[in-house]
Amino acid sequence: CTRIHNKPTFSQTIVLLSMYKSPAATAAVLDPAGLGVSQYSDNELQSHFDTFFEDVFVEVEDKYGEIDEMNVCDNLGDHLMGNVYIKFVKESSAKPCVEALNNRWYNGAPIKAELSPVTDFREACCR
Amino acid sequence: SKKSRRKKPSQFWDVPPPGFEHITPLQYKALQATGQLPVAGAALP
Repeated sequence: CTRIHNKPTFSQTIVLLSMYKSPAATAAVLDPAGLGVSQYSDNELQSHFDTFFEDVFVEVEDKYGEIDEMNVCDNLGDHLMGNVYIKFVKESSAKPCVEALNNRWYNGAPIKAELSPVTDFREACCR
Repeated sequence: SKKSRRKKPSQFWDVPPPGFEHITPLQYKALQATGQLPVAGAALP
């Protein structure tokens, strides 16, 4: 992506960069030609995703504020893969959440959190 | 106060990379930024 990604100073949406490590995406990176046979069934991939989604949603809503919408990128673009976008009901939840999550681990990795300019996920695209 | 919706403790939140339990995530990212640690994806759960 060659677009300039503006980082807002206030927003009710945050992005957690590359937080979701899908087994399918990892396999695609390790085996781009797809020569290996996928070892994951659709049910396993869905279950893996559902566990992740609930784990993140519950923790963030419990600790940082009511969530309006949460989306996880299932996109192989380098800067999008595994990104988690969370839109809070209140803008005042977002900045403290970013600051707190930037000093927490998730699954053996540091969380990289930023405010995001996305307000409508159906209209979102790189600008 | 509001009741937590979590049914069981998370296996993934606040789990540091093995061997880096003694530093904070901010310190870890600072080491990555200066090239002292590789920027790599986390292990699959």
